[in-house]
Parts: sequence; C-alpha cells; structure tokens
Amino acid sequence: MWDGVIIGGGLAGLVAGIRASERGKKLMLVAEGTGSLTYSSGALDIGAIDLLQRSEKHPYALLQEKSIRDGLAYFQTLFPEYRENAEKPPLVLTPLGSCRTGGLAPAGLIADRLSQVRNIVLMAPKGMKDFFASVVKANLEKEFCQSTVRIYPFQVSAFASWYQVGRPVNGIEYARFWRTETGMQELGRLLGELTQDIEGSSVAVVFPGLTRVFSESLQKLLAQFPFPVVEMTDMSPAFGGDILHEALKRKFKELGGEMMIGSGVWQADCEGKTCQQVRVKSKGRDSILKAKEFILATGGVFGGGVEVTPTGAQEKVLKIPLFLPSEWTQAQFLREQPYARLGVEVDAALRPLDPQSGELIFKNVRVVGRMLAHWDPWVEFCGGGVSVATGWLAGETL
Amino acid sequence: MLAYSTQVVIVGGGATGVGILRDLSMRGISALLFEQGDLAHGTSSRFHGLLHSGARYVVKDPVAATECIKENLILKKIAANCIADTGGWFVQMKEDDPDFVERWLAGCAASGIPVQEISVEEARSREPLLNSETVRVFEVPDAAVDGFKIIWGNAHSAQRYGGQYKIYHQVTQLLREGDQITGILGIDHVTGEKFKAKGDVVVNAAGAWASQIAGSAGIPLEVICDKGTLLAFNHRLFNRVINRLRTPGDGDIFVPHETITILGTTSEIIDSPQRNQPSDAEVRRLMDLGTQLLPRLAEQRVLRAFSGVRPLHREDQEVPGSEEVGREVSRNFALIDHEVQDGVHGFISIVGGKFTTYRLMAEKVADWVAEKLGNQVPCRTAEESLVPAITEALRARAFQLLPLGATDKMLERLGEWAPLVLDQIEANPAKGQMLCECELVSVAEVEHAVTDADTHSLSDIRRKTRLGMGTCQGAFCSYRALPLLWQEEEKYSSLKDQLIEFLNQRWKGIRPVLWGQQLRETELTRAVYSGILRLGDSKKA
Amino acid sequence: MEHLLKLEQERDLTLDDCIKCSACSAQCPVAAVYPLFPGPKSVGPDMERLRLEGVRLDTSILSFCSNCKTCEVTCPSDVKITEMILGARQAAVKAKNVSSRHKLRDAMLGRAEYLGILGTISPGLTNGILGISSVRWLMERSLGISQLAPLPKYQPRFKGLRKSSAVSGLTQSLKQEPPSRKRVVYFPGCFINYNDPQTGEAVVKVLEHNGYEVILPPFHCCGVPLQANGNFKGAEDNAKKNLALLAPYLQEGLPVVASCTSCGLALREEYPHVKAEGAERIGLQTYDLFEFLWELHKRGELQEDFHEVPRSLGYHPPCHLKAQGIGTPSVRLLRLIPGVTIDDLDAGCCGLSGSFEFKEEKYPLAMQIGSHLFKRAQEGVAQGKFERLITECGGCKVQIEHGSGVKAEHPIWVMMEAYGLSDIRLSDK
Repeated sequence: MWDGVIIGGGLAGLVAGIRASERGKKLMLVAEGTGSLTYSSGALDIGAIDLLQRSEKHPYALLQEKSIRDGLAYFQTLFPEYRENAEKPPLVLTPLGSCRTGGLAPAGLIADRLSQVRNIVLMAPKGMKDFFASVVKANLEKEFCQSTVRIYPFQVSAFASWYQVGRPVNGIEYARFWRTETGMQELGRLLGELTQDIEGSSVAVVFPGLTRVFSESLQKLLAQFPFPVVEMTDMSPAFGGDILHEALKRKFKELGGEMMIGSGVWQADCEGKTCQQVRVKSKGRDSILKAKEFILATGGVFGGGVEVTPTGAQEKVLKIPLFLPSEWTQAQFLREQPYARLGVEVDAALRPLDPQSGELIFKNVRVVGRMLAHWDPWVEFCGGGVSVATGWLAGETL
Repeated sequence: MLAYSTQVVIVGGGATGVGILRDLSMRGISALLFEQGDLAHGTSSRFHGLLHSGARYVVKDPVAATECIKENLILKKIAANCIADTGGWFVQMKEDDPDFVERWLAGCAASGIPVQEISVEEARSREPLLNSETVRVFEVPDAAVDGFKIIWGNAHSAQRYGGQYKIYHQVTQLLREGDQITGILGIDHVTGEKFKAKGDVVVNAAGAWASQIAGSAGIPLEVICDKGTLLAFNHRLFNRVINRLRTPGDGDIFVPHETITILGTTSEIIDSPQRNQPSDAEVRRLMDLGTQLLPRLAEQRVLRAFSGVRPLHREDQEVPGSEEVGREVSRNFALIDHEVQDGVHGFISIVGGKFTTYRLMAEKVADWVAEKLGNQVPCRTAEESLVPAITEALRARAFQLLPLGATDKMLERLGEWAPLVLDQIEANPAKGQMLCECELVSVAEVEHAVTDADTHSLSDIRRKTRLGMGTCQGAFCSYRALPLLWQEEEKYSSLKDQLIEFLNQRWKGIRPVLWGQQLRETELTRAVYSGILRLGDSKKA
Repeated sequence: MEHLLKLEQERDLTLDDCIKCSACSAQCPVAAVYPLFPGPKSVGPDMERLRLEGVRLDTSILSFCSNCKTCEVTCPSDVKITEMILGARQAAVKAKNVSSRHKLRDAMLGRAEYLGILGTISPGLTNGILGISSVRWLMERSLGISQLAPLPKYQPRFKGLRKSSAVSGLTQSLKQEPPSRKRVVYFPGCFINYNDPQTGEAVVKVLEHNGYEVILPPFHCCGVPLQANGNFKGAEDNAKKNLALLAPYLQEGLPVVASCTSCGLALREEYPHVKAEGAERIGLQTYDLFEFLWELHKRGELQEDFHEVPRSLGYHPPCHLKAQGIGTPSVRLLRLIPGVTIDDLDAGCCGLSGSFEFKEEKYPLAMQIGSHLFKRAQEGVAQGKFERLITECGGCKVQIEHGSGVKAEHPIWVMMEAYGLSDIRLSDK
C-alpha cells in the first residue's frame, strides 16, 4: 500500500511527488511516457495571476493567492536557478529571435540584458536543426533596435561526421555536447577566439542550443568571458525542458519516490467515493497499485489523459465526468479555441466534482495541471504556474 | 493596363483547362490560360483521386463508362508518373441487391471493362480491414491518380510547345463586341493590377465558376454546383481502390493515395462554388457509410476533411432545382457552342465531365477550336507522354544523394527538374535533409518550389511538394520552410502572415475531424506556434 | 494467419497514434551517436506509412536499432516503435536484403545458446582462445565481431543448485525439510547458463530461503538475441520450445521467475503472441525476480530476517527492465535491508544492448552510448557516493565493468549477504 500514487509524470505530477516525498510519503509515479516538459523550452509561463484569478473557475481562481505564491516560491527553493520577477517578468528569446515574457526562467535564458548593449553577436552553430540564423538576426534587430547584430558561424569537430553526411545537429545534441568535458573545452576555445575578435565593451552574445542550468562547470566557464551569454529557447523537443524534467525526476527519486515510465494506468478500481487501486498496463500483466490517495496528473488532451471521440470526451483513468464547452472551435487557429477549456472541475482542495451537480466524486483523488477545466495555456500563458501551484498544493496536502 | 494577345484565351486552370492548353499548343495554336488561383487549387485536386475504369457507370451511364475505360488506358500510358496503378475492387455486401450485380457484370462486358472475380477468402487476406460480411468481389482496372501532378504535367508540357499560363489571374469580364467575344478583362491578384487579353476564341473551362464567366457577357449558362466532401485518413487502409457494388451512392469509395487513404464522397447542391466548407454532418455521414466497408473505421485516424465542387451539366433545363439530387445528373460533359446556342461568336464553354475524361474533353474542345481557326494538325495528346521519362542515370544519381523512398517520390514530382534539386544537395548535403519528415520532402526540393516563379505562398508550395499534407499537417514543416521563404523576402513579405494563413488553411480541414490523435496533434501545433514561437500573441509583432 | 494479420493491424493503429513530436528520437541512444541513423521516429512510424504504401526503402539502416526500446518507454502515445522497426527488418530479411559477411556474424551472435554450449564444453580453453588478441582480430576480419568488445567469459554451465557441489551444505539442510508445496519455475537465461552460473545459484538459494522449490526445466535461449540479429523464425521456434517446457507448470498456475530482464521481457511481451499452448498464460504468470520477491513482501511471505548490510550502491536500471513497465522493484526491495543505500542512476543505455556492441561497425557507437553511464559510475565511486553498481542484466554488468572499470553485480547478491547465505561475491570482489 502506497501513501500516494501519482498518475502522470509531467511538471504538475513531479512537483506534487517531490513535495509529498519531502513530507515523508511513500510514492509511486506512473506515466505512459515522457511528460509534456519535453516540449517545453525550459521557461515556465506564469501568466497574469491577478487577472486570471478573477476569471470564473480558472485554476488560479480556485487557489488562494497565497497557495499560488507559495507554490512558485517552493519551486524556486527546489531550483534556485529558476527566477521569477512578479513585478517585471523577464524576457526570453523565442527560437525565431523574437522576445516573449519568461515567467519562471533559468538565469541563462533571460534576455533583458540585450537592450543595454550596442553589439549583439549571434552564434550560429553549423547545421543546427530548426535554427535559422538570418531570420533570428532580423528579429533581434527589430527587438533591439539600438543594437547591430552580427552572425558568428562556427562548427564543432565532434559533429564533423554529422556535417559530412548532411544530418542536422538538433538543439538537444548541441546542448548535451557542451556539457561534456570535450564540449566545455571546445566552448572555452570558441568563446576565447570570439573575445579576441570583438571590439568595444558593449557586447552580448546570443547562443542557441546551449543550456547552462544545472551545470555548475558550464556556468563557471561562461562567467569567465567579458560579455554576457544569453541562451535562446530552442524548438521542441528542447533540452531546456528535458533537463528540467530530468532534474525533477532525480529530485523525486532522491527523496525515495519510485517511477514506472512507459506503461500508463488504464483503469482504476473504486468503491463509492474512494479510489482503491489503479491498474498499470505492464508487459504481460497489469501491475496493481493500491494507495491511500491518488493524484491525477495525466496532462489533459495533449498529455493523453482525456480521450476525445467523434461523439464525446472521457477522462481515461477514473472516468471522471468532464466539463465540456458548448462551442468547440473557431476559424482563426491561433486565437482562443473553446475546446481547450475542457477538463475536470475541482473543489479548493483539488478534488474532482461533477460538473453538472457540483457533487464531490472522489474523496482521495486530487487533480492537477492540464487536467483541470477552465484554462488554456496557449492564450493565457500560465501553463507553468498552474502546474507548479496545483502540483505543490496536492503534494502539500496529500 | 497590361494587354496580352493570343489566338485562344482559356479561362480556368483545372485539368480540363490545362489539357486544352496542352492540346492546342501541340497543334501549334497559340494559347494563353488564366487561372484565378494556383493551378489545381479547385475541383481538380479536391476529389477522391480515383482514375475510373468506368465500372462505376456501366449500369447508369454506359457512354461515360466506355469513355472512362478508354481514357483510363490512355492516361496510364501517357501519365504513368501521376498514376498508381493499384487496381480496384467492387465489393458486394450482404445487403446489396444481387440483381444489380448481374446488370453490372453485363454492363462491364458491354463497355469493354475487364472484370475478374476474386474469392472472398483471398480478398480478406489481401485486404484484412475489409468487412468480413463481403459476398462477392470483382477486380477492375481502377487506379489512383494525382490531380496535382497531372495538372502540372500538362502545364509544363504545354510550355514546351509554347503555351503559356498565368496564375492568380482572375478573369472578371468577357469582352464582347456585338455578337462577338473578343477577349477578357481580369485582375492579377499578386500585383493587384488589371489586365486585358485579346483572342480569336475564348474557351470557358472555369468549371464551377463557368456560369459566372459566361454571365459576365450576358450569356446564360447553367452549371450545377455539387459539393462533395471527402475524408483523408492517416495511412493506407486498403492497398487498392474499393468501391461498393451497388447503385453508386455516398461514402462508397476508398482510394489509396500516396501515403494516405481517401474516403468519398457526399453530394449536395450548393448555390456558390465558394461554399465548399465540409460540415460536421457530412463527416459523420461519411464515417457511418465508410464503416459498412471497413468496420473498424472509427479507430482510424482522420487527418482532415475537404470538399470539392463538381460542376455538373444539366441538359434538361426543365428539371426543377428543388428536387435535384446531384448524383442523378449526368456526369457526361457538354461542349456548348455559344454561337449555336446564343448567337455569340468566338466563345465556347466546356462543362460537366469527370477528371478521368479530362483529356478527351480537351481534345473535343481543341478539335472545335482548330476547325474554327482552320488548323489541320491532328490531336496527339493520347500518344505523347506528359513528362519525359526519367533516365536510369538520373535515378542512380539521385540514389547517391537521397534516401531510397525520398528519391522515388522526388523524381515522380519533379521529373526533368530533378537535376536542379540534386545539384543543390550535392553542393550542400544538409539540403538533402527531409524538411517534411512525414511525406519525405527534402530541403532542396522545397527550396526549388519556393524559388519557382509560380509560387506565392506556403499553400502553393504544399500543392507542388505535399509539404504539410502528412500526419503533422504542417506542425513542424511549415516552421522549417521559413528560412527558405526568408531568402525570397520580397516575394513572401511577412513570414508571420504566411504562417498564420497556412495554419488557418490547414485548420479549415482539421476542424470537422477534431477528435482522437488529430486533436492531440492540434494541441502540439498550438504549443509550438502559440507557446514556443508566440505567433498568436497579439502584443508581440 | 488471422492472428498475424491482427497483430499487424494493431501496429498500424498505433502508427496513427504518433503525433510526430520527436520525443523518441530525442532520447534514442543510437541516434545520439550515429549520424546515419535517423532515429526511431523516422525509421519507425514515419517509414511505416511509406512501407504501407509500398515505397521502396533502404532497409540496411534498420539493423542499427539496438532494440533497447527506449523509444517505446519514452513515447507518450504508446506507439509500438521498436515493433515496427523489427517488423520492417523481418520483412527485409525475408526479401534477403542483408550483406553476406554480416549474415554469418549475426547468425552466430544470435545463437547465444550455441555459442554458450560450445564455450562451456571447455570454458578454460574457450576463454583462453577468446583472450588471444590475434584470434579476436581474426574474428573481426572474418566475422565482423569487434575485437575490442568485452566478450563475456564462459563458465561451467549452470545446472541448478542441487547438482552443484559448491553449495551442497545448505541444500542438504533444506532437503531434509518436508517437501515444500510452494513451487516456482526459474528461467535463468543464457548469461546465467553459460557465463555466470553463480548468480543463478544465488537466485535459487534466495528463493529456497523463502521456502520455494525451484523448478529448472532445460530451457533454450529466450530468443531475444536471435530476434535482434534478424532470425525471427529462430526466435519463434525457441519460444515454442520453451513454451512447451513451461506449459504444464503454467497450467498448474505456477509463477515463472526471470532474473535476466531481457528474458523476462521476452516472456512477457513476445511469448504471448506465439501460437502455442501456454502463450495465453505466460505473460500473466511471469515475474521479474525482484517483482516476485516484492509480491512476497506485500503478502507478508518474504523472509525479512535481514542482517545489516552497510553498503552504498549505485543502481543501473537495464533498458529491458524499464520496458517491462514494472518500475524498479529491486531498488524498492533492497531498501528494506538495513544499511543499504541506493542511488538510482538512471543514466541511460549502457550501449551493449544484447549483442549490438559485438559487431565491429557498432562497437565504437556502443561505447559512446554508454559513456554517460560510465562517467556517472566513475564519478559516483570517486566521490564516495557508492562503492559499486548493481544491475539485473548480465550484459549491462559486463559492459559497465568494461567501460568504466567499476564493478557491477546482480542485486541478488545483496539479498544473499542480507540473508547471510554467502559471502563470496559482493564482499570479496
């Protein structure tokens, strides 16, 4: 019998797991595959908390302001390299070189410094997949019009055979390489040459496919040079999200948590308002996990926690009835899409409610992250904040 | 105003229009074609892609059936690169009328369509997804045809003979002097400028838009707009064309088309060719009907729904429109000589027909035009290949530079232009990477399309390359096309607008089938464009 | 026939589940080190659509898939990526599309069992011969078997505990007890059989210590190496032979325990698809060794008379354990032993992947794949975080020791020490 079983291994599930483990709970986390952090750039969106709190039934509206702040603060104590500035959210660069607000972002990504320099050097790693130096240069010039942007192409001997056969090197591959011993030597040499090559002091370097978070030696190396190095976010799947995912997993395991990845929960056995056990589709035979409490963190439609068919939508594990918007789509693709607000309605303790009657469905289940109804990360830009805050609250109260 | 002068003006760049352009050009008649959008943007690419054997029409319309089988054999010969000779089956289900089967067999014999019965057991093993309640199965020479490739093949072949075409040139007005049509007026949508074209003959091959064209000179021409909706499934469900063996109806044809499978169609009379948005009801109906042939259809992933408008010709104008059902109208084409019908000279309309017989329709029109112009050269479009054959040397060279599957696909699409793409890859191996990973389109090939004078948008590139037509429906490949568009900055002004426009176009087809994995794919696409790239963020330019 | 068609259809349906997110390719250990391997997304679901279309495709690259199944574990949509790749390889083998030199080599490496039997007839001689560098050079030139790869040493064949003299004292004492009614079938696998019989004996002792009678039918190789080397027919034949041996016990409802994670995966994932008696039960009744012991613990049936074992251990979860989707039961269980601390490294594939590394063209790749794990192992030891590694897979063990110089052992030896059953392995090495 576990104290808690967490279903889903994305940001919300892992934060819940870490917090609850820290409180001495024995936890098992089950996930179908890698969580959605794999697609994240590594900068977590928080969004306009004040505004969203006033939006009816929004997860931010359900949580007390204090819970949101405590959750975000907790995350920063876990990972002090991630910073939030509620007054003035930092800027980070998109893979196209335009700016966006960064929410909770590791220091290396913060691009505000670029508005104070007159020369930007854009590092252009040879054959980097999904990185387009000329487009980025133009966008940087638009964003930071006080500055001139120079493209600095370079290649890395370790990828010589990649270049030769024309295989692109993706951002993850470059980022992983820079963290190896050889990579750091090569990076040191490269930036050393660059130091010789640039004139004046008002210089900053923009670097795609480089991620220094969780690597002290890389941070130390980069601090040696007389110019700030600003990382870019990379196209998904990106190392920035992947490394955060790894760090969360590691922390969870260090605290004694165990994970089953690659085999989702397909069914739960419940009695009345209590979920008793879940069935994991292990190879050959289901693994059965009994627990006192369960956290549902299966990531909504995208995470695979909700199955939508031509005739309806279903929460896959516990068959919790979902809130379904009456409108489904609208013509402008990147605007608000009504379907995106489907999900589970919950009480203030994140326990699932029947959207029709408002009645509590399970006493020992908490629902977190993208499974919750009434929010849309792609118009409200609050995905990181909702996941961290609800995950933290679930872990705190489990 | 820009003015063109030619012997023949052709209005409409669908299969028939480019077929006419090619035919006339091969006879040495100078011709200029105007198309309001991109070539093949209309009905000629918005159908099931079935190259009929004629078997579908043998009972109801033996004339059409006979034309089909003849044209079927001709096209397989002259346009082999555009056709996947999959063969087709007619499948009789338990509830289908056995009497019809007998009439159908007799009809096939009469029309000269070869038929071979396949045992149900063998049919099940060759097509495991086929309904097990199948009663009889017959094989006919149906095939899958690529509308884009046929049309580009015709256009390029015509160019080699001096024919010319202008895309994004919309004809707005026929020029009429008394009872003589002397040319057309139009607008170039790329530059926004008006233009004029003079010609001895104007051919109206505007399909669903034909009555608007004729109407601009006060000439009555009735064309029935029959909307047909189709579904594209993510992979090959059947290896060959599957028809239901009964009176032709809705949702009874599956066509394997490149990597995907198309299920069609519905039929609904609409009042304007612009109203071609598939509806939820049509999608549901197709899914229900398709399930009769493929019981596990609901589990298969639908990539998108799309609709085309069939321009049907109605000989009997007395038939009241309210009782009209599209499929009852003849699919035979009509060549309308407006001199005979309306006393207007120098103007001919071609309406109705089907894709399979486009070449025959073009031949009839060209014969008529040639006679008017006193040209004696016979038609050769049935003998000469649309595209020059791909040499073994070229194929061998391509294999050195691209993966096997990508090579064959590229050679089929590009034919004689393939060496240009190969030169690029040779100079820079990185350009041999697959920009579109679902449909195997290389960076160099997309670049080739981007720099083509006839390309103005990502949608144009899609029609030339299949970019964005695979599983991801543009989630990754449209982003990857950006730097190539950027190189041609002047042509593709705002990259952001290009992307948003393309995503909206793709979205139009996804919206009616937004469930299952396609919904997850949509969420991934939103994460990329709204989340990572912040394209939807109105605060940021 | 119907059965196979159904399998193919299921695979086609999981093909539809792929949303092209590339998470699998981002985690693929081979794609990370080998530029010509375009990654699981490309050779799996992307190519599968083209294969269904009937497009001619290059099949030579498929053999670079090491069958580690990291892609399937990573995939958030449960796409059967490795299955697609193996299916395509199978089709290519049928079409005889493999280079001739490597055909012989792959046939040899696939036959771990025959190699093992040959090796164990005279293990000293075999090890001697395999230790001669010129012989290895010759093997590489003639067979394409890398001269650098750590071929495991051959040992006298594992014949179970009762026939083994080394541990007779203990067995004697157990034997005098009334025959236990608790019985379990043990599937030791080739590595135990031919290279590490002592670990097999340890498994038997631990099970017996918990009151089980251990049944050891004369099993054949589970088939994984055959399959990985393109001999699909051979793999299926072996599965059938093993199922024939297992069927009566499965019928009785006895649990089957595997201490090798690849054998265990095959029994759970592949065998249920074989058309033979017992196939319907094998998945349901097969347990990873530590999963089995954990079940005993949950039921209160595990002997928990543990001595304190003051050991810090690093744990390497084998890829094929992850692929079983049962978590890390050995970590969970060993943490019940007082004194034991475990650092679950989870530092990716070791690179060996069955026989992948033994191939000359793949040896450097395998070493590169494992380098991350080797580094973590070396650092852990240097920093005093742990003294050695434990891992269930014999292949991983050999590779970790070869690549990092850090000793690695099957976790059963920790149990042995805790039970005070043996002091040979962990403490003396």
